[in-house]
Amino acid sequence: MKIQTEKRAESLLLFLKKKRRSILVLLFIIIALEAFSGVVAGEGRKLSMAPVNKAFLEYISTPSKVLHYTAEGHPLGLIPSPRDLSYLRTGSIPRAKVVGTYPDSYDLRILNKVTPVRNQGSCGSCWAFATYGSLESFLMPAEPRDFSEEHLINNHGFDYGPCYGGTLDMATAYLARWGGPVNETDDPYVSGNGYPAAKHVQEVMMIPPRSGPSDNNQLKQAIMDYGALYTDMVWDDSSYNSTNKAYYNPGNTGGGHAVAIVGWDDNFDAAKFNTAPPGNGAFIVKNSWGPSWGDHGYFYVSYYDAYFARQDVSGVVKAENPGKYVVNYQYDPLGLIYNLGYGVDTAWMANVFQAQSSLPVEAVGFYTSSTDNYYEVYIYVDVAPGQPRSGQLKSTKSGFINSLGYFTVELDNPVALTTGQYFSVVLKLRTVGYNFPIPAEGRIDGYTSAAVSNPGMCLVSEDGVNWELITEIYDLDNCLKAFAGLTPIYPPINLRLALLENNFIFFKEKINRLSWAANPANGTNIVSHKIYRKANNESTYSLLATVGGNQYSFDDRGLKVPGNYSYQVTTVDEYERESDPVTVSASPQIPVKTEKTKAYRTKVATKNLVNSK
Amino acid sequence: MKLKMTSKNIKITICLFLSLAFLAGQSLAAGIKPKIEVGLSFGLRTLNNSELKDIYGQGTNFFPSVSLIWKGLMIGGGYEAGFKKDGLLGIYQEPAELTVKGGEIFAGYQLRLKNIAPYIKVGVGFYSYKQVVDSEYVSDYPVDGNKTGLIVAGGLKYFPLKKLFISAEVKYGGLKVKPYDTEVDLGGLRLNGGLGLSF
Repeated sequence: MKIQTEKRAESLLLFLKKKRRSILVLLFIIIALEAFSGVVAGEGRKLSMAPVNKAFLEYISTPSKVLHYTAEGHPLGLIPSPRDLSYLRTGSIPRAKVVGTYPDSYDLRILNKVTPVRNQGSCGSCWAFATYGSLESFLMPAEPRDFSEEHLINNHGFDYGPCYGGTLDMATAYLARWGGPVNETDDPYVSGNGYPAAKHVQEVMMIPPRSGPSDNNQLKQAIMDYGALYTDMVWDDSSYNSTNKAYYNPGNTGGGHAVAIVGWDDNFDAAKFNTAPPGNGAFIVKNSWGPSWGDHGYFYVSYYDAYFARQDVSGVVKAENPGKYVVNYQYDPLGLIYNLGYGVDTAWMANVFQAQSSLPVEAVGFYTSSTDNYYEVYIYVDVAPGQPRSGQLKSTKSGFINSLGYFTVELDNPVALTTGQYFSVVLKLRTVGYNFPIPAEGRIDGYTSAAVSNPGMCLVSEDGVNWELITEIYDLDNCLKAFAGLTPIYPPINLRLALLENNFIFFKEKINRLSWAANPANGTNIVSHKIYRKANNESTYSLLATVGGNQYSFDDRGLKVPGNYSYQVTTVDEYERESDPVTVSASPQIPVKTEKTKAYRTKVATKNLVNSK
Repeated sequence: MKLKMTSKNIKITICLFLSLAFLAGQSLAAGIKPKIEVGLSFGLRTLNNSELKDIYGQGTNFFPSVSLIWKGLMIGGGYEAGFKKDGLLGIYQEPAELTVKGGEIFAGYQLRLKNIAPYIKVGVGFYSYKQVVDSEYVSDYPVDGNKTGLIVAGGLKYFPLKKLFISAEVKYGGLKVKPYDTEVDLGGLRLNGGLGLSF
């Protein structure tokens, strides 16, 4: 046994001597590769920036930016985004497998889930109309709204003039910072600014560009689930058949245009296009050139169009009531401009904020850049400078987001704050297949010159242990928001009902007097109390009165039968939230029956019951 | 003193009034001319109901009247007005207004002693009453009705001139009403003074 081992060692040494040169070369190559990729033991990977869209760089470097116009004079206002989305078309990130059965045709107009066609006029604002085409559709039919494109184009915060084009990114930044949407009635098209957001956009779901004419399931599913989709196209006048309102661009150049997809028709005849595409099928598209254009403002775009929903992301803009979250902690008012990473698809980022109020942090908002995204969120309070994971860990949340876009993650355990307290939002984000998971906002001359970095507040890390200030590497801020919500609203306490008689000498008015007390658990300003009433033989309550937030009693007057009613009282706060009700009931008072008055009183009681309010 | 407006009392009053009217008619037929007196008096009017008294307080009234007098027997009629009072009613102290007015017919006896003439009379008043409350909650409870009530009065006339007299009268009228379940006594005492002419 020992002899065999010695023989093996001798043969190995002999082999090493013979191959010494080759082995040294191999070792050199390995060391060089390791050093080049920045993973030599003892050193971390270096933060790097994702490539910027070449088309954007070309556009931004053009001294005089001129919009394209259609032959009819409609401006084409979709301009390139700085984000290089080519990775979405290379197959490096997973493609969502949307398998479903879809109807041959689908039309949101029939479902009353689109708002009327608008007219952008001579302004390059199609992107704003397409954005609200999606958002308004999302809210329909339950909530018909008309949001102000004027406010969006005047207040997006980017360097472009109001009518010189925009992107879904710009709209997302404006909406995510709660700059809008503003009601059209507050700021009608061609007018001023400075109005509160009528809704809070907490999610903009983005769908990668179509890979081909049959890659439509994601779009169809989104339309069915949420409503109209913002999307992009390249407008070429010769591709439009004005007779059939049909558009098919086989690859001709033109100007960028943004529109909203409201449905599809798989059987739309290919012969209806100027140039017959290889097959039937078209999207039904809402334009913003007024209702007298096309088919009452709509037109049909072939599935085979070379550009339609194939260059940039398509988007669904979702909104919720503004009372859910009321404070938006953020350093990225201009939204996602850059993507950063450490050469792998996972990275950590953190923002440190100082609490503006005692309202608890309830949610975190951030951008995702893949179709498979894994996140972990941590909230710390009383953090030390530069150490976002110091202090006390108060809340954690992890999950998966299967879409690109901007999302809000609600914390399971909201974090209570005290005014002035420093807290951190820490996010570990894995964007599968994409090595620049960190979304960042920063300055680009001619595009985001208004961007201002916040030194000391935004940090990044490869491992969540060793943190570096992002401003020490790039002049950027993390796109990572925290939302402080409201404490729950509680109903009044000690609700009581007293039966009174108001003596008018000749008769006595019957009054049910309600009294209650403020609930000390409420943390927001109470602006009113609502009183609901139902007769004891009725099944539903109806609103009887609304009284002030500082009023703690209400007299239900003019009754003919005292009691006989049940009441509910709720609390309404400054954010128009209404608490659950608290209920009190009373039975009718039966008159005392004496022999002398029995007949008369019974008669009166019967009459009063019939006439009671 | 309580005067109840029962049907029996009304019948007695009407019989009395008709008897006096009959006597007057007989006298006229016999060629005896009666005296006609017209007068106007003004004075205080109380309210029997203590709650109403607390709210509205004492009121005033004026009473124009005309009488026929023959051998001391007197019949006549008049109209009592002027009782219109404001007050604040109920829990919410809502503004209210109470009005009581109405016509009266009466019969009685007047004794002429030189230049003074004491008299007594009884009669029936046909009153209307109304309480208006400035409140949206009681519109289903209008207080606006009519009711008759007995009156009893006595007084003294002083004739400083042959045809001119000065009068002082105490009158009590009962008026119990019940528009809803509560009976309210709108009656009360009138203490009036006035002037009149005798033809």
